[in-house]
Amino acid sequence: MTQPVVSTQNLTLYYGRQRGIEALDLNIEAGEVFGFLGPNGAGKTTTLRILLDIIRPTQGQAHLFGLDCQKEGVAIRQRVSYLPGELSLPTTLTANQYLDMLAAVRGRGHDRTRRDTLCQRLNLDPTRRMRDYSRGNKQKVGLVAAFMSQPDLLILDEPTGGLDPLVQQTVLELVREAQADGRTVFFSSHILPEVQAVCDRVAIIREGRLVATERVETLTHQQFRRLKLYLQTMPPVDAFAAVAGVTEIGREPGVVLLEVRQNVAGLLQAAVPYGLNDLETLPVTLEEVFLAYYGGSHA
Amino acid sequence: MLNLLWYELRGRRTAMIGWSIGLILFAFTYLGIYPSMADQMSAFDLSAIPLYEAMGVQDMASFEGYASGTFVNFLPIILGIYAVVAGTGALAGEEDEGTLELLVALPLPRWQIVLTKALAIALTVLVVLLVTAVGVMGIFASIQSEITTTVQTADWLRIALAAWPITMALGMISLFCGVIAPNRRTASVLAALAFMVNYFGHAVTGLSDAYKGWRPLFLFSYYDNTRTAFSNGFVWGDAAVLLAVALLFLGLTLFAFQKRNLTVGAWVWR
Repeated sequence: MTQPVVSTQNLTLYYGRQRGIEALDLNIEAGEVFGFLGPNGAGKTTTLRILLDIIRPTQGQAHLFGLDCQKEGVAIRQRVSYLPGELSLPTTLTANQYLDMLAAVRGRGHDRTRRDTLCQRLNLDPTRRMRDYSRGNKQKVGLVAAFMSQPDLLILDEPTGGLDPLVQQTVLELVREAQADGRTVFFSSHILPEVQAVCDRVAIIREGRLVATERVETLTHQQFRRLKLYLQTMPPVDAFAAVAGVTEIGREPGVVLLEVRQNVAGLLQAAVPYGLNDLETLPVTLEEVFLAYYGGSHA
Repeated sequence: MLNLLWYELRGRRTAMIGWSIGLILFAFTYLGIYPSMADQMSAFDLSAIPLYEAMGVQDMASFEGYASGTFVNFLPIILGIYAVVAGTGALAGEEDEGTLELLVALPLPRWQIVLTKALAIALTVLVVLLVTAVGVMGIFASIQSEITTTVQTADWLRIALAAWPITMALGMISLFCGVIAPNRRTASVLAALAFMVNYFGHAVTGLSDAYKGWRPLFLFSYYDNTRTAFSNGFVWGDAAVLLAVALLFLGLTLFAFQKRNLTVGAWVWR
């Protein structure tokens, strides 16, 4: 079995008495696009900052590429690019000057063509001073900085924040391309459809604790289904109330909408007396699954 | 590291220009008008007021006394303000703004970031002082024929450079405050307090012989702001003490920054 690119064991951080993250166990394999989902304040950014040794954990361990994040931070960061969630750039420089500095500090053979291509694809003029940039343009500079060095691991915290929908799509394309090149992407976000669109696996963090880690499609399918039953006769409103794991969530003439967690056979049995014409499975978004996890129930 | 230093210096370019112009204007304001005031100044007898002497103003009757009581006296105070601003801004300011997070995420050891910032402050102050010295030399050359003095044009380079060690000591204390404090505002308060204690401590202990034993505790005791600044030459011993203090606080900053949880906004020991 290959070594995970990201691995944390019992990772815990308290800010004084305040909870940051608690007992976080994560493993991200090479070549994965790993989604990290959670509402604001759940501990996503804290986790990413620990991985980059920006903050130190109260307990537990974090390793990237099998190296200790605290003891071997420089070697780790040589192979990692990071886009912070709250991006702040030096306003006195142009984007080009800033990107030059990053390339020089990284000390790798700098592919200027790739950088220019990224600027073009993201529609960024890098010759302007960054104080004149809108939030979206600053985010583009951060994205160029993250993608230009072609690192083994990309840590992206809310990468599409402040971008228009077209550029958001470009960012998702860049993530897919990075994966196709064999790179690993740790993709933190609270925008669920984009996580659903690019990630292989997703971890959901809630109040500093990991709630679930699953393949995106598994998470989407296994938790609950939404079924639409087309019936010849409308059943009474409590017709499915006795079926365990089934909740009626809506109805219209000839159609009953149900949420089913288990016992599909029981549901079908209960539906047959009303003349079951057809059955349709409606897609459940990750957002709904996430809300179910987070809130304990979903609308 | 050189790349990062270049980037740091580029970011301080405006400060270099602004502070240099400001100090030259300041020098012009005091020194440029001296020829027209020389006669009136010779009537001032400040020796009866010990507070003046304690503050470094011994006499106004000679050009040396006037220049030391004004330009030489205020130079480290004005640059001290820059030291507090730059020292607290270098790490605490960037942490508050969020730019430090990106820097720390680069493949650089933390000590290198601190050292680069310290070097950038040191070089910025040096450039400001050198440019100021050139400006003052020009001002002095233009009035030299109208005044009676033993001061030579070249002396101003030494006078200006004598302010570098004390500015560095104050700058490194400020840098240290920025690393231990939760945010820049708190760091600035601490650094300004250290500045004032060192300045007024030196001044107050000069008022009475009973307190003079305490004087060596204050940084401004190692900066000659009297007319002997012109005759004594560069006092290497005083400069060494101030640079040792600067190095001590740089060392403490390196240690504290290694321990610091960045972006958290807490005291370093929490």
